[in-house]
Amino acid sequence: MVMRISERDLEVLSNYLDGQLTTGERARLEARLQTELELRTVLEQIRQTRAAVRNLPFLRAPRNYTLTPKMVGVRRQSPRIYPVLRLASALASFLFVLVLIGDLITVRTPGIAPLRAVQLAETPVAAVEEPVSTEATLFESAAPGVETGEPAEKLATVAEEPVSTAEATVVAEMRVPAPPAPQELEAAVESLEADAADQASTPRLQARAEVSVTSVEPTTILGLTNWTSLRILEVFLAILALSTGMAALYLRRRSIKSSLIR
Amino acid sequence: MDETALIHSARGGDLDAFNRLVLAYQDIIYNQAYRVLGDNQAADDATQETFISAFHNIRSFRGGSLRAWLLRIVTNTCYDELRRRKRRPTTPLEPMDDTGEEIESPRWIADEAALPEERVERTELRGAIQHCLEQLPLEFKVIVTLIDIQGMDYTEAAIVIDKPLGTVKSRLARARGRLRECLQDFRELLPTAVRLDSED
Repeated sequence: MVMRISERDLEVLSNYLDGQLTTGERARLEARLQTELELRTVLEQIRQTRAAVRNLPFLRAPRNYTLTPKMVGVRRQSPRIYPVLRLASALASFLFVLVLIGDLITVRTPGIAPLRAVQLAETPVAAVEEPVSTEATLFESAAPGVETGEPAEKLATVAEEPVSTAEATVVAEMRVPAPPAPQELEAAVESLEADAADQASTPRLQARAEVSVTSVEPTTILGLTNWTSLRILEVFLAILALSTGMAALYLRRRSIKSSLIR
Repeated sequence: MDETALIHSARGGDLDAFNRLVLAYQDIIYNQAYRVLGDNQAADDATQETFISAFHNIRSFRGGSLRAWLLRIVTNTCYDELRRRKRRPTTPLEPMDDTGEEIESPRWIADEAALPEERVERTELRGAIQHCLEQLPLEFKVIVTLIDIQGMDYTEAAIVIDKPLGTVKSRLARARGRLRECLQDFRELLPTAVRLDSED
């Protein structure tokens, strides 16, 4: 038969065993335990019950309860740099294709390159035109006895040569004899002014036109520079696209591999 | 990596960090589930469910004892499971053996109304204690498991069950009282001191 005690006494005994009583409560209980056998018996029973429960084996989990991405409905995290690399690769590829197409269109399409060259050449030609005409005049005036059309023809010949305007200028300068005396210059200027109306002739304009056309030469140098920078840009973009793409692929494969191992 | 760092990483969705916490606490959680539910399979399910729930709610963990927080989740999971069982009892009348045959006269069916001879057959004190634990009301079972099996102090246990300290003391005392009464039925297995009443 089990001894019955009040719930209040049961709680006091339970707290006493766990050291949850105050000093006063403990003293009062210990005094009662000295005189009440039943209370002492129940205390021992509770102590043994408590010990028996505490002696239950601590069970080990029968398996591991680690979670998989599927269990929790999340995708395995890729390394944080993965999306950055992926975006960089995509952008670099896009830019590479864009630059390549632009380059091909510019180089391959007939008429566009010369047109561009002419456009580029407009500024230098304007700058060069005046010295050339002056030089031509000087050349003209410095060659006494030569007909009016002759210097223009000579200049045209010079201009036809495949050299830059700058070079043409140099050549013209080289052909120009020593600077004439001030009197001669004045005479030449007067002669020039006098002939100005008459000299608006076709050959001279042709010469200017030819000079303009042959002025493409400086832009060839510019074109060469453009070509080189374009190629460097293309190579850079291609390398960037490939390297970032490969790195992203490597990270992706490694991520998949590690998730399979788990 | 220490626990705080792992919790921080787990909050950021790092499943690997969370799994390291799982490995550290799975025995504690499984024990709690088993002692409360008294069934390996149910304990297994409850443990897994606890960790899934913990992963989804790790952001709500405000620091303090992770063990207490996890024990609270597993306790709630056990409550849910027992409520579900109450609504839809699924326990078969006869358990199956490995070949799918019904086991006749199983000892597991014995209850308090069973004959003393049958009860004496419970040769293991551990089995007797587990049996008595299973007879306790759920809230008593939870508190005695937390304090006497998990070794928590009263304050921690109060946090787990989200009740005041007085409730913890009261429930624990009553749980121990009921266990004492239950274990008298297995007094042959118990140390002499526990059988004092029968020897009077």
